Amino acid sequence: MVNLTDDLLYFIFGILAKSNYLLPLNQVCRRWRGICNHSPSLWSHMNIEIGTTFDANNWIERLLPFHLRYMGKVPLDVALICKYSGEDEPEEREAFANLTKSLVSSISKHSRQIKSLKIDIDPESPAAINVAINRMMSRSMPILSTLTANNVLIRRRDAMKWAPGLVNVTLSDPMIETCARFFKNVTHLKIDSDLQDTSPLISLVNAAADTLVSLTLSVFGWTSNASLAGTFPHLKTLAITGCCMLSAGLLTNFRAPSVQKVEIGMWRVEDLKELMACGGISFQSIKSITLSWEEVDHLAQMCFHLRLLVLRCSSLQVLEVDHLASLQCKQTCAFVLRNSLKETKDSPLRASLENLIHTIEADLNQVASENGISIE
Amino acid sequence: MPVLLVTSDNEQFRVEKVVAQRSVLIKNMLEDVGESDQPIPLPNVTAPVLKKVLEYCDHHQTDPLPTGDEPSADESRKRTTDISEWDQKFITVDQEMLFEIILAANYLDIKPLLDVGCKTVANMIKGKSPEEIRKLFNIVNDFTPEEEAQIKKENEWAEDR
Repeated sequence: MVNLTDDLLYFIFGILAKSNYLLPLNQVCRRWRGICNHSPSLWSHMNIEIGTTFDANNWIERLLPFHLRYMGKVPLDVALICKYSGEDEPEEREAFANLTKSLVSSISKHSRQIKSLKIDIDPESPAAINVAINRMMSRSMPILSTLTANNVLIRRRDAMKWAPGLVNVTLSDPMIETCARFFKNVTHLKIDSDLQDTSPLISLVNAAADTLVSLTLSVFGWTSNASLAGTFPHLKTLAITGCCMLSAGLLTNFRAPSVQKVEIGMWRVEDLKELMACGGISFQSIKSITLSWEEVDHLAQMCFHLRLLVLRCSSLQVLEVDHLASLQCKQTCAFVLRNSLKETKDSPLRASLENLIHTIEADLNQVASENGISIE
Repeated sequence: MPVLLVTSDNEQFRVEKVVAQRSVLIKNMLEDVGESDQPIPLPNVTAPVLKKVLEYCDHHQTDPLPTGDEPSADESRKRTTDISEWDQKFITVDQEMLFEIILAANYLDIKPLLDVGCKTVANMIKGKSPEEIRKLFNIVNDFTPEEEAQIKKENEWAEDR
């Protein structure tokens, strides 16, 4: 250990910092203490998990002041994860709320240093926690570029107002309705949603149309008639995944001429038709398509449209079909792709198609041999 | 074409180029000198350590080489302390050899091996008190009484909050 250079010890300490294990290190010897206490970046990752066990809470409560003391002015990556079980006694509930509020309040004082913020709140958490988080999110965060928020109920109208550099956002439902107006500069947006009414979600996406480069919507069903409307001039990646069904008209007014990568979760042949009918996407420019193909009705129709899609995307280099559900689905898909291969002799897609067919067929053979079926 | 490596204790190792090139240092040296059968001196590595390092390089010869281009390559490397089964078995050595492997991986610039070594040390430390860490690595507690008092005060300060 004596032979290891300070750089190597720093690297090892960096690994331990991710596991919240810096505190004992600065109490081992003078050399270790010097490395710990004079390396602000070691203290810049705050992984604050509250509510798992009493010991874990206690440890975090002890650790945070050290972070605040030694982190200096470096940009911070903060993760605040509240795992409240919701089954404890009222006193425990209050203690949990007080601890979280106190930690959030301590971090809030350094909001100007926060570069990335992840907040994951258990929905059963006491309401007071959301109040404290709202207060923090309303503070100035001039260098905040990445936000991940799960189950965060934003009530304050000025939440995220002072985070002009926010470009990378991952959200779940409760934040969607209130924050659309503050996401004008966002370039990377990912939304997980099981909202009944998807209109707020669509409003949020449309509000960021001018700047979005990558859009991922992971949704459980579209129930509104809202559509992605307007021009998304910089959008390169469009992913609509989850158990979604592309509602009729969702992409009718969608214009994204620069899209090169498309990922679609399909359940019905209509989903593929909706994609194909979109006049605002330049299919000739698409380089990569991933179809997540779970349960499919009308398999023959689906394969027919898949073949059309492959032929239409003349610049396609990568085609992936994931989650082929049944044996029949795999067989048909492989058959269609093999036929498409004949028609794409000099296409850049050829290598990817061959690879895909190989994968599906290998998968098929394995399923067949496991079930004692012979495959022609 | 095989490459000839010479250790600090003057032992020679003839290895396949693809294996030797897992080391960025050796790869760069080979690119600089071009096609040559000159032996490559490795003055910072002894034969037993190089033998072990080459065992790692041989096993991982077909792995994609880390590019280091990613902006936060170092960050993502630190994120997990997981080590693959083969690597775990490989790195089950005595402490002296473990540190020698880390130093050699650092000198030879073999990042994945450096990761394995450093993660192993991190895993050894995790969960231990300062006293247990000292005992484990035979580290002398060289704090002055004033520093000890300061540490104690810091801990009290943290506990009182």
